[in-house]
Amino acid sequence: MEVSALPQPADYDDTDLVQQVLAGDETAFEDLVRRHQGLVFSIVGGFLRSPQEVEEVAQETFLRAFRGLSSFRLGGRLAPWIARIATTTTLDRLRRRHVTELGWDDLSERERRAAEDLAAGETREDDAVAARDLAERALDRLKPKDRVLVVLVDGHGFAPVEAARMVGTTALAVRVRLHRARRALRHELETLLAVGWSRKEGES
Amino acid sequence: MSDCRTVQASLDVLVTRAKSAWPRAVAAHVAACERCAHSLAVERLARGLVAVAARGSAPPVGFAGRVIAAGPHARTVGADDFWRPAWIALPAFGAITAALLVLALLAGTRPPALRAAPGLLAPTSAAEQLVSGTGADSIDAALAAILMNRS
Repeated sequence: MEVSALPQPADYDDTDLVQQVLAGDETAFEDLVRRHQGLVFSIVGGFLRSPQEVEEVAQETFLRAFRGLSSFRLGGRLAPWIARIATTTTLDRLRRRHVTELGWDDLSERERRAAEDLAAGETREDDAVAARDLAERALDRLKPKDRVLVVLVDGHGFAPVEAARMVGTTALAVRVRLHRARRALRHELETLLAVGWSRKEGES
Repeated sequence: MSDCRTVQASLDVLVTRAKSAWPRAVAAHVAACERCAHSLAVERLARGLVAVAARGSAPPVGFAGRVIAAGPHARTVGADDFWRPAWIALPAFGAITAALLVLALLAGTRPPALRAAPGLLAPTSAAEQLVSGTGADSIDAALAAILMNRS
C-alpha cells in the first residue's frame, strides 16, 4: 500500500503551496496544514492514545515540516514526505515513554472484556475506548521502532519497503523486525489470555 | 480430523474466515484441541489490537489555527533556541583563538613581566626586586636574601 491509501487530499499539486510558504506566506502554510492534517492524525493517532499527546506530536510534525521545507524536492509528492516526518516524530515520542504493564490483573474490567471479545473475533463498537486502551498497553510492550512498523505494515497496510523509507531503514531490516515484533506481541498476549482463562476457570 | 500442524500453519487464513467457512476437519480439530483454539484466539486478539490501534484519530476542530499560533512564524524562543547560537559559535571561537595563538608565537612576543609601580622603585631587598620584576642583580643575591629572611 502506498501512502495514498491513507486519508489525504485528492489530486493536489503542493508545489505552488510549498513555494508560497517558502516565500513567507503564512496563509499558505495554514492551507498546507489543513490539506495534510488528516494524514498526520491518522498516522500519529495510530501510535499514541491520548488526544492531547496526538495533537502535540501532530503539531511538532508540522513545525518540523516547516523548518525542513527548504529541503523538500519541489515537484515531488508532499504526503509521503510529511508521513515520514510524522512517523519519526512519533518514534521520538515513543522512545521517551515508560512501558505500561500488560498483566491480566493490571487490566480494567472493560479492558478484560475487550480482550475476550477480540480473542473471540468479536468487535463491539460500544467499547471501542477499552479496546483502544488495551491496544495501547499491548503495543507498548514492543520496542518503539518495532511498534511503529507493526502498525504501519499490519495496521495501515504499508508495504515493508514503504515502511522502511518512513523509518529510515532497509526493507530487509523491516521484515526482520516485523517477524520479531509479531512473535513478541503474540507471546505477551498468549500469557495474558492464559491467565485470564485460568482465572475464569477458577471462578466457575 | 486435521492435526495441530495444519492448523498452526494456516492460522493466518483461519482468522480471516468465519468458522462456517473452515474445512470441516479443521473445525473439528480446533473444537477438540485446546492448544489450537488458544493459538487462534491469540492470533485474533493480536490482529484485532493492531487494527484498533491503526484507526488513528481525526484532527480536532481548529488544529491548523493552533499550529499557526504556536509557530512557526510566531514561535517563542525556548531553551534549545537560546543555546543553539552558542553551540554554532563554538567552532568559530576555537578557530579565532587558535589563530591568535599562532600569531603570538610567530611574533615572538611574550606576556609582559610584572613591573613595579613608580613608588616601589626603591626595593629594600633582592627578593623584593625579584618579585616586583625590577630584576635582582643576580640569582645568588636573591637566594641569599631568601635564606637570610628564613634564618
